[in-house]
Amino acid sequence: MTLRALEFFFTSGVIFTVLFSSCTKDKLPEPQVNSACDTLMPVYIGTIKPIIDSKCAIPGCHSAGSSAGDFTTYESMLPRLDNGRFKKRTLDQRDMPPQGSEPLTEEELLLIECWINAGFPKQ
Amino acid sequence: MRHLLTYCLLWCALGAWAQSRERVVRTFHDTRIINTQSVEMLAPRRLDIRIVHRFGDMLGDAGGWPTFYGLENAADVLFGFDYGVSENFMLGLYRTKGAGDRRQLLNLNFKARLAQQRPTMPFTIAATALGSLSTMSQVEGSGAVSSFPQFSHRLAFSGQLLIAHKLSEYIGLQLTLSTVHRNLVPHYDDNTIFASGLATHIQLTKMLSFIMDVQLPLNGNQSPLQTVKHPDAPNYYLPIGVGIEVETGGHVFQINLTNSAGIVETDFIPETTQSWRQGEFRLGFTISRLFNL
Repeated sequence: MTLRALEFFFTSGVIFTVLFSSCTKDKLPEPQVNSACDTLMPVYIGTIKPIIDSKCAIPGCHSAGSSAGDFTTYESMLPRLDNGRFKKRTLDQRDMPPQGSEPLTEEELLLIECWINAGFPKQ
Repeated sequence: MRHLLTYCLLWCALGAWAQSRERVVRTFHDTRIINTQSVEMLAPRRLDIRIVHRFGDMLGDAGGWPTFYGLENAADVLFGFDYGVSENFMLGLYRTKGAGDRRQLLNLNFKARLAQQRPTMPFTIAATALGSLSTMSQVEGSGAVSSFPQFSHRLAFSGQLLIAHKLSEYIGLQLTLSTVHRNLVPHYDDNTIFASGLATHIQLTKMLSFIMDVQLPLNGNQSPLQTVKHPDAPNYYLPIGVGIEVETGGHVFQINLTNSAGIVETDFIPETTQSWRQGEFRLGFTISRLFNL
């Protein structure tokens, strides 16, 4: 057996041992609707808009005409609500608002979660 | 006369033997096509420093004038290097931003050439293995993939078999068979996804080539072959890329358009949710610089 073949089989063996030993096959449970949402039932006007205005639609972030997305009105937010990107960044990855900005409180996160789960009603 | 005939026969036999051992090289001009890896390898002790950038959607809801057709956003970025360990084996280490549920990725890639096209062998064959580790902060209580209940949930893997044939001096084709495994997925998703892909490289001039690749997931919600999809799953699309490659001796510069936001296999095969038809394609470029060590 040549040195090249030995090198190949040794490296392949190491790679596959590492790969298979670190493999799992897990799924997240189906998300349950938070029971608190039954009583909160938040809507955009009056509940969600003030949160968005104070934490997202601020100058340099999601203000009117922003290249990162305009969150000043319900209609301008809709595309990112429909495609799930707002939920992904705000609730799943929680990297929005970004580090250094005032974060969303637990109460605000719950209101946004309930609002999105209810189909983000306007009023 | 008999000596001359023997000499001619011997010369022809030697020529045929030499031709049968002549390797067909440069089916592609780079180790990556657009999204897919190619069968090409780095020469031993060659270092390839690589920067790949994908801008935001050119059109659609997130594109157009407000984002200057996506140029003011970055969907994904790769910084890293590949290194040729031997003639038939190379490795790479890259950091990518990540475009799916896992972000801030460290990717380790291995590629081995198993066969080389020659007159007696119609294909160049290579295999790749990629491991991807998310280094993002754990988002506790989110109920999403980024909650990472175990450390192993940060990992995703990809394995590929690349089979290429150089049709002529100007045209190369590649069939790709891929599998991607993610240790943790949402409730509607499959951990392991299989995919097949096609790629081509057409040389237009001495320096300029046209390149294209596409991946077709074969199972899960990602696959167009699956008629019944989970209602909670987002809409997935085939990652398709087209581009132009410019080679200027030591540099490869590539400019492309693709609907894939992710750059590495563990991202773009299971996570492409952007559609060409809805204008959700982006401009991308690759800069590669080769060094001899």
